[in-house]
Amino acid sequence: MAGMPDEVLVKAAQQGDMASFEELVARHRDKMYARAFSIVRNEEEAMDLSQEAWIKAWQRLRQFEGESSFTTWLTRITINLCLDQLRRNQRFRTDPLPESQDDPAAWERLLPPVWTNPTERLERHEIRQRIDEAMAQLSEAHRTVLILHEFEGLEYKEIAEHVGISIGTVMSRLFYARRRLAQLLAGLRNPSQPT
Amino acid sequence: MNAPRSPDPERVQAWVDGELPETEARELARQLEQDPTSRALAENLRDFSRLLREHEPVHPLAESRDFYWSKIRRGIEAQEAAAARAETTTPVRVSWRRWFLPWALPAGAALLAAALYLGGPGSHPSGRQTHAKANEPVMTDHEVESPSEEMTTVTFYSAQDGMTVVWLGRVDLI
Repeated sequence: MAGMPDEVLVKAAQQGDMASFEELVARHRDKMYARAFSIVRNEEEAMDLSQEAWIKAWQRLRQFEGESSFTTWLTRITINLCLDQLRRNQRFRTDPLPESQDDPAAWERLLPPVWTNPTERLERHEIRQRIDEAMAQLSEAHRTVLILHEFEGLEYKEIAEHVGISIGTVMSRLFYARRRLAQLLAGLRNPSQPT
Repeated sequence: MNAPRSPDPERVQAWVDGELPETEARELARQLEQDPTSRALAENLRDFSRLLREHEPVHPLAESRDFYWSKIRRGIEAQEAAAARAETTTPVRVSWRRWFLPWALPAGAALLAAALYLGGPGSHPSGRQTHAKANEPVMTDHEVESPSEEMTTVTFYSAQDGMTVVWLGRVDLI
């Protein structure tokens, strides 16, 4: 079963084969957990939400017709559960700074016009870790939009629908999130480098 | 002569993300050629986006495969058990109502009429038996109501007219 493609396992699971579904869980559980964690930033919550997503996926498996990949479909379920959780707990707050900055100088204060990548001399895993630390400092609202766009590859319109905001708000949140993140990363230094 | 106004930074971002319609995108590209600050912003945004996509943070799952799966399996089993319970209870009730009620109405009417006509030990002035007991005075012109969950019946007996009328009503139609 380990060598079978997802499509074959999905078809078998759609016929009620639990063993095939278990194999799908084993293959993609890390990705689902990671996505849930990236949004809610809590290990226990991320674990529960990702497992709930799998249970929902089993229930709705017959509705999956293969328009997208199985993992894309499953990730959407996970993301929607995470967004519901944030809404339930009223955690969809933005940063205290204004989202829309009409004054261009205000943007310059957030980030110099030419951003030099401070992570150039870092190892790959260190860069990941620093990005993760910086993302943890964003508000849920900004982080979610950034994740949906950069890591899930969703278009503005899709993000607006998922999160329940206007496209204009998606644009301003995304812009703010990128700049804020860049600012946070610019403040980081490679500990092995002399200052 | 005024310098051309710089495009809105969020519009530059939308251009980098490929979110602008074709004609707007072409127009913005022309503007960027004349505007080094906005051009730098576009390059920064593109570089930053690439940096993020190439270094998405990794969050490995600490739990073992079996432990993680066991909760999912229990969840699925619980859902399926609940669905099975719903299937075995709901359809029976629905089908009971659907099939029993149409027969219950005429059957109930017939039974009530028969009970009133034959069942009681008392006698009707015309010689027919009624529901009144023999040693009790015969009650005339009175109603008997027998409500139930599914239907209501009201029986009216008129001694003067020598007539029994039974009203039947379905509760869900009232």
